[in-house]
Amino acid sequence: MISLRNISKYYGKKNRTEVLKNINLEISRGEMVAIMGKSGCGKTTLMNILGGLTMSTSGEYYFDGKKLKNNNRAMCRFRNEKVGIVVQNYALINNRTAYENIAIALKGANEKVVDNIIKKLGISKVAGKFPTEMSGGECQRTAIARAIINKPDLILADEPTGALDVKTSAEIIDIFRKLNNDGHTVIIVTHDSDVALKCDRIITMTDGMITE
Amino acid sequence: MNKNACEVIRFFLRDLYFSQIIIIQLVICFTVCMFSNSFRHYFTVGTNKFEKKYITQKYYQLVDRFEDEESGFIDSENTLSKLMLFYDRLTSTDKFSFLEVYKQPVYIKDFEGPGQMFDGYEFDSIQKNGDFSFLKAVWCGRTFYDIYDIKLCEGKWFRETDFSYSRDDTVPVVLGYNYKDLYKTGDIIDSIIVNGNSDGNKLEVIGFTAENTAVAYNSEFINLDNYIILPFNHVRSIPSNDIERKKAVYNLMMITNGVVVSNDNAETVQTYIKEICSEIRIEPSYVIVGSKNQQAKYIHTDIKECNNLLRLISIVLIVFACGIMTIFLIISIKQNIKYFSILLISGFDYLDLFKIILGQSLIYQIESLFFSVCISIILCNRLDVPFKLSSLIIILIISALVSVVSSITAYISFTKYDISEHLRKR
Repeated sequence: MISLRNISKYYGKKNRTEVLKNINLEISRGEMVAIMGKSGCGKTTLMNILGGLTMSTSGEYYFDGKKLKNNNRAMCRFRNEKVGIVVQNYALINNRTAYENIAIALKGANEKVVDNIIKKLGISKVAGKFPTEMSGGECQRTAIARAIINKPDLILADEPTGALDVKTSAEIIDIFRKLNNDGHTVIIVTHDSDVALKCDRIITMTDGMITE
Repeated sequence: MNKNACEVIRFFLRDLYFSQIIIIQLVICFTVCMFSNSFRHYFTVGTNKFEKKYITQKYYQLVDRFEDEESGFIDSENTLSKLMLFYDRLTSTDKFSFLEVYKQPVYIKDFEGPGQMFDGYEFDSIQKNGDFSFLKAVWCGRTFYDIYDIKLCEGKWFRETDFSYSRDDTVPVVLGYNYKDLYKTGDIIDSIIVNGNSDGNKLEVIGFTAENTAVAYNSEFINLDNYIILPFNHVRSIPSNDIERKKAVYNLMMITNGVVVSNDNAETVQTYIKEICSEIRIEPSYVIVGSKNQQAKYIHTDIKECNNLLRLISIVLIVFACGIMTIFLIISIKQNIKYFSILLISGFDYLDLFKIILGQSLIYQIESLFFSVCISIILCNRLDVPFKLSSLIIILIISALVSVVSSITAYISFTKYDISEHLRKR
């Protein structure tokens, strides 16, 4: 499904900071993969490239056999059609309810889809609440609901349990596992080994390179 | 409602109070631009239109500016002597020719002629006062006959002595061609002449103009066929009593609101007039209709300079409007960068974001335009300047330009942000 070939990323023109160095990576459809590494190893940058949030400096990105164009518009289209993104601090709009935060991502005007997702993720009780009125777990479920509402092929989660307690973290990872069982490919960036162990495969990064 | 439209409205409501400050500034910019265009147009059309009608010479309308202070000026002690001096200077200068011609209707008793001879007929506003009907009339001076090359089909023109008469005298009149069916030479007509007082004078018909005789007056042609032509009553000396003095002032005001004939352009002639008024201390100065350097009514500077200043102010304000709109949008985006980043991972693409930014800008423009049009119309009405439709069209174009330029600039600034970094911020 995903194929990265010689992907590199650096910042700055004069004093180059190389964040990713010749990454080659294959991820099959239906896998649940964890990317691990210390802070600054480049895992977030790799995730950004996988999700089309950042363009690589060089290399090629293939998705379902098609090479993706390395420009903002192409990446944006790819992200909207194929990817759902979940981040550590939920990225919810504070002056909108949980329902509205989910509905904003919905293509078309079918409200039943939103209702079904809310039920599926167990956040019916907080659908009318604002993010400031919800717990961390409820916020993250809302963010996951928004990410999956259009049934993306790929779900990317960057430290989804970073701000949560152990129990809630486990619940969230269970949700990702269920989504994976439903057919979504899931990639989770984490430095939590407990989270990583629940995935099918662990990719370890060090200094911008994949080591395992 | 369309998703983008919803986001435009929500985005607009986020900064509602601050955005009103921007709108006030835009209203000021657009109002000045619109008024400036109406003001400038008002003072340039008259002269151009008039000048095109004459190949060999130009005819300009001279008018006084006493309408707002009429009673004060008339009651002043030295007004009559000033006007007499002004009249002498107008008729004796070698810089231009001065035609004494003025439209001022007269009341005629027991008139039984057709409606088109009534003053106000074209505007459906005919006046009658008992047995007296208010008819079209033109007052003329000595040079009128020669300069306009008047032709008579019957009778004779005024003599030198006819241009001076007293209250009880019978005033000779020449009638337009269409009056031939109603009167004949030698007929005596009862009339009331309105000239600072309402004097009942008898009029004696001494002649008729040839058919289709026309004269130029105040940017138009007057066909004299339906007019009564009367001679101005020239004041030779200052009367002893107040009533006669007041009448004399009115007469001179009528005479001096005549036509200037010259080969020079309007601004040159206006300069001559200003020099004379300045010498005699007539304030405000008489005006050549359509000249760009006439004195502005409320501020004591030339219209031309006013126009140039207003044009400059308009340009500065347009650039300023563009600038504040752009800065506001950029700041707005910066303060809401996380919100935009969230939209980008929620199915919105960069084109959607540009539409939201543009939509935001358009809301400002529309709100500003509405208020600025209202204020401009009120301002134009208040200052007797006709509101030009071209002003509205110009400001719509400018507003669209401001919208697009500010939106594009703000959008370009947005694309430089790393959205992944802002997604992760609290």
